[in-house]
Amino acid sequence: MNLEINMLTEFGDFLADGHVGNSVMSRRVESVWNQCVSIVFDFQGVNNLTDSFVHATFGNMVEEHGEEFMKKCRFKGCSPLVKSFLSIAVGEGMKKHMERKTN
Amino acid sequence: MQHTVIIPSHVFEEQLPQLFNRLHEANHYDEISIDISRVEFLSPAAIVTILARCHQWKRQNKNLCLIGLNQCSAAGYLKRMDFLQHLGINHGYEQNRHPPAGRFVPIQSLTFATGSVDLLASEITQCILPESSCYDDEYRLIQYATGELLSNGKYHSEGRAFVSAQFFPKRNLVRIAIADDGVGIRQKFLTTSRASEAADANSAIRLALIPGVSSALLSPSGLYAARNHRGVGLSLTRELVKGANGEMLIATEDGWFYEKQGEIVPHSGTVYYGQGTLVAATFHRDHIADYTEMHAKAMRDIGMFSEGSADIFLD
Ligand SMILES: Nc1ncnc2c1ncn2[C@@H]1O[C@H](COP(=O)(O)OP(=O)(O)OP(=O)(O)O)[C@@H](O)[C@H]1O
Ligand SMILES: [Mg+2]
Repeated sequence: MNLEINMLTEFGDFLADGHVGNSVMSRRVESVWNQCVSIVFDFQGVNNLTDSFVHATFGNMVEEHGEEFMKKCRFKGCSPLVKSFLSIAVGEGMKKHMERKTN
Repeated sequence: MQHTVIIPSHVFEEQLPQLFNRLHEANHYDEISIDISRVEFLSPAAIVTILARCHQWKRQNKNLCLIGLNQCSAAGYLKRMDFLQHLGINHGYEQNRHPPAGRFVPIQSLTFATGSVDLLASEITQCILPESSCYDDEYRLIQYATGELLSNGKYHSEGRAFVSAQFFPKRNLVRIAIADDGVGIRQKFLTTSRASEAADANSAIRLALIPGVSSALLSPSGLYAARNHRGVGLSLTRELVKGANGEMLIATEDGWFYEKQGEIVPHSGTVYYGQGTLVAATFHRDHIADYTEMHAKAMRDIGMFSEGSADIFLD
């Protein structure tokens, strides 16, 4: 199955609440993770976000799934700002994933 | 026993310790009068501090009353801010509501159970920068900082948080402040593996400002709370404030942290905010440049940077 999450409809144009982010992701994404071949997060229309949101939401997902996240998940419709936030959160998540693996 | 707290005439960040101490003196009394007759100017930090403290006293069933409104030259401003309504104490004056003029944000409040972080942050930003578009750098920076501080008030304080903001056209400054009557930063770390580094309120503030440090992540209560926080909000806001040549203030119990244009300004003598936490951020609009770059720099400065994951983007 291919899953697409529209970030604007799920969260609005300013993503700032990591609790809401996490709970939506666990309901919409984690619950079907194994059945999904590809997951696309569509950021079209998202104007701004906070690090709390992006690290709690995607940092966790990357930390947990590591290489599988990199294979399965893609982002689209991102502004330069959103790209910059996501790159850092994904990078940090991967770092934590590697630390977990070596420990 | 009755006590009167005389609110000083002008309270900017520098005069906050004096305000805190006056409020603290009243803690031991059951009947407290708040005298605002001398008030000419209160910064957002002062306003939310008074509200958070009065909220705590009300929870403790103390009798509060407001005096001196008729003599107060800032009465119109306080009314337009919804200060009296949020104070929720009998002041015996008629409440004439005027729409806000755009230079300040009427006070709002939120708790763990009520109030949306993102909607409230956007509303506050629109109100404080009415002529900006939501794509402007300054708009996104203020929205970011407000979002991070509101998230902390909502999810960490365990109390009620009051928020206010104001634009000062003469100096081109935006001030945002959020104060709560919750458990305070030190308490949050008490049950974590780093409790020894938060033995007093000042150490707890230093710990909270370390990038990646979150009491939720360190909490033994397990995965649920831990997943929702990564310890990035306060440290990033501090870096962005530095990038805008601004000021960051954190007060909790007897802890005090005040950084102005990148320099920590110590306070001699005791400062006692009391129960809960106050965080205030001031931004110089003249120093707000490309927000995407400001944010990336702030990230690099705290040691977080991306390592070329361009292939995760489809376009
Ligand atoms: N209003 C508050 N009341 C009590 N504790 C607070 C408050 N604000 C911050 N803290 C403490 O400071 C810590 C650091 O705050 P910070 O915003 O940097 O991280 P976080 O909120 O835990 O994670 P994130 O911001 O990534 O969601 C928090 O974990 C919490 O322990
Ligand atoms: Mg936070």
